[in-house]
Amino acid sequence: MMNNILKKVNLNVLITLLLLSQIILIFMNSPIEQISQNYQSNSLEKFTTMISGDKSVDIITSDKMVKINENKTMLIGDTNLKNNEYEISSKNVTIDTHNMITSSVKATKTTNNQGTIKSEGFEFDQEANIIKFNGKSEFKTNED
Amino acid sequence: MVRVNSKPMKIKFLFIFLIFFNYSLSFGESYIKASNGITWDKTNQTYSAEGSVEFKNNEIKAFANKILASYIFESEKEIFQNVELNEKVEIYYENEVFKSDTATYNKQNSLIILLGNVSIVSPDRYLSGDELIVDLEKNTRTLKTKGKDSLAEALIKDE
Repeated sequence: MMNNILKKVNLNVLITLLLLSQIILIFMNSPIEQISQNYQSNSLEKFTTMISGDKSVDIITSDKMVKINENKTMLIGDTNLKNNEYEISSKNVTIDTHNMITSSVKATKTTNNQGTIKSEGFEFDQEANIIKFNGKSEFKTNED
Repeated sequence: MVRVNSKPMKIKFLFIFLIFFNYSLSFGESYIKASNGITWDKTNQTYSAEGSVEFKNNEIKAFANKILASYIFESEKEIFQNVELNEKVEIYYENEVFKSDTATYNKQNSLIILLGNVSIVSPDRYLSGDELIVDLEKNTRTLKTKGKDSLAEALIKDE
């Protein structure tokens, strides 16, 4: 009789613990964090790199760089892309080297010679040399 | 010693504040706001904006569904040269409102050319036509309507 009660209590405790761990896993792990955990071996913390192009030098800094595959790299956390023309500050930036597109769906602030652009994300097509500032966007210029 | 709370000092502070306030207003702010994003084409030196778009500079304030602004480089600074406005165009200049289907604003020449379903609204007049040329520098308005003579007016500003 006592054994049965103990078994029931233990089972209830076990079920509760399992449910709690599930809840913790669901709420604490964002998809990006899951990706970064899966690619621990290909990641770098406090990442900075300089890429020398034809006309300028690009400086990329990020909280964490994760190489997803041969063509895709994720810059997790605060990310900064800077050269002599502009500076883009955003979060969770994806670099697609195959399609030559760098993008983010997070709030983005871009500063260039003419002013500051705030947007809900960005997509930089390196081949076309076009930057799309997505969503509600505001471009405040330095013009007098 | 002069007391900060004294009346003459308060007036001085107010005067200084007003000077700085007026100074900052005189520069104003220039911007493009868009609900559906802004695209920067670096090769063609343009910014295009879509959705509900608002453009403002020291001369005009404009609304449209699409805006294409081209710029030039002047002393290493990008300066807006030409602004093309499309669909539901509304341009505000002092106490006048110009409405049309499309418009082109040239900053260098202070010229606005409006085409299609054009109207001018101001406190004392309403005019409509097919084409309107607004010269902000010379302060003239030339309104053209198909099959009718052009209506030109020169506005005299109170100095």
